[in-house]
Amino acid sequence: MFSSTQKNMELASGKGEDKPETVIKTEKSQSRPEAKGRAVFQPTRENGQVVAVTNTVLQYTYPLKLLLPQNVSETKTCQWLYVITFGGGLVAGDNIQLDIELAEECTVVVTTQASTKVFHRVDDLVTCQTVEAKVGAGSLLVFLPDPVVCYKDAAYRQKQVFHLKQGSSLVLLDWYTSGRIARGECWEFQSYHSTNSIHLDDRLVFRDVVHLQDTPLLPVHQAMAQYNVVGMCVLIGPALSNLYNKLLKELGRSKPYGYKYNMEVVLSVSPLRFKKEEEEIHGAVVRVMAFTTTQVFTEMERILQELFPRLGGNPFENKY
Amino acid sequence: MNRKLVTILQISDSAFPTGGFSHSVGLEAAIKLGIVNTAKNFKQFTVQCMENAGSFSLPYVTAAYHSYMDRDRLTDLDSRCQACLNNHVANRASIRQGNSLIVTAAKIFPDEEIRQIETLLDQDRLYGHYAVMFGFLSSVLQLDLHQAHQMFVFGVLRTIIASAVRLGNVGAIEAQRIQFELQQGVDNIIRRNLSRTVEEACVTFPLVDITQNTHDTMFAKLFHS
Repeated sequence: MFSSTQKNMELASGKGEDKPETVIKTEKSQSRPEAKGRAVFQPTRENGQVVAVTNTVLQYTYPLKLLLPQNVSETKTCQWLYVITFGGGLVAGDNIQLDIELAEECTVVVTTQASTKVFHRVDDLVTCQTVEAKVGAGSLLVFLPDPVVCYKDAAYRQKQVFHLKQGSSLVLLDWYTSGRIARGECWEFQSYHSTNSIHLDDRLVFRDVVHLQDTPLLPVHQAMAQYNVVGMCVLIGPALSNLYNKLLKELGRSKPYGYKYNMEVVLSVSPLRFKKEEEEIHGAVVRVMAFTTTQVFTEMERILQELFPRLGGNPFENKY
Repeated sequence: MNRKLVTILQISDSAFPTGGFSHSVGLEAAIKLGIVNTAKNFKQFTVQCMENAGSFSLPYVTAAYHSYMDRDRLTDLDSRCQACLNNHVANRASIRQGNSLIVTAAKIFPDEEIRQIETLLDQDRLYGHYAVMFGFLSSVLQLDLHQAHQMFVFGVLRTIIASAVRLGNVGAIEAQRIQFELQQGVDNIIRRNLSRTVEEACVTFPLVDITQNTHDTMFAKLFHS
């Protein structure tokens, strides 16, 4: 005889089934003004050759800060932009907007000084970050932020849009953790919402939207089990074709018979094709889920290391 | 005779040849990885897949249902789905099931609109993603939107349960007991995603998506995906 439905739904955390989904208000209801940042990069040519990447615009308002240290990269043909927030974290109501523009033939690394920390939600304010980037033909944007770490009761929303042209290349790493793991805070935030869109010549070719929040049927922390880190790394464009083709073979091929799976770090890879008629591959997306941040840093560093000469260094150095 | 109920029963039957049972929705990979190995985490896995179907696919079902006469809109939805389904295993399963559904339906049901969409598939002008094709077909067959939603989410649940039985992980009767238990959540999932647009379509539980993405790397597998 089947028992009653409520008793059987042991998956539910005890909240009523009819509890309406928490409505997350949009940026427009923020009480703090937007913090805007803008960075523009142009190539510097000598005798028709690009000899350096020059930053021509660098603007930011509190609590956003942009740093362009000149001694990090060993090559003048790649600039490293650090995106920082004063106070070491974002609070409810913060609304960061960052515009990045690469003209043609520039290589730029965008990274952070440390993980993006998001504090708990206050009233119905959400913490928001928006990035809009344009990458010119022949340019490579390497977007490698540290992970987003949402503290207990945080509500975070990010939107990242990348506009590429034929001949542009992009490495996009987007990842997040379960919280202050060392404090035993595991998937205790209210809401994590991330949208990544990539347009090629104004056509949407890639979109990934994740919205992590408890549902009446299953709380996030139960669903995530022992996994503390989730992320994806998109590679698109001609500058990366050796790399992504290699990754597709390496991560995509069948495991040998009797292979011992390590469930602590799971990597997957998918080819990206943008035209139905062509079989041509334009990129790849690597996804990862892992028990620790160190595991993901190690994998990402290994995966991207062949780019380091072009970047003039290893962006992951000293990050973990 | 309740024409709608009978149509629903026919399409949902395992005898309706759309190859739906060659997909495990990532269950086979989850078992291989050691992520699913108890009744509890099997149920959690299944609920995650159902929730993702609700938050990612139902908006497409709804939008296609309302636009079944609008070929341009259907093509847009299908293209958008393509850009969003960058998990190539899920993408492949979606295209296979969507195409099978329309090709089979075109041979069985008399509605001319179905054959027109089949032509677009033939000419490679549509990928034929499952959620879009499903919404379209439900509308043509004059099912209620709510019935279409129920069939869709039920279909995900049913497919996972059937896969577990075929993989030998759950006995047939125990599987049906679990299915009945999880069926109670279907309407709740539908209600929460009723007003979600395709722009807001999202994955709620990313781990099962990543797990499914690894399917092709298994040395030996029973299912296509």
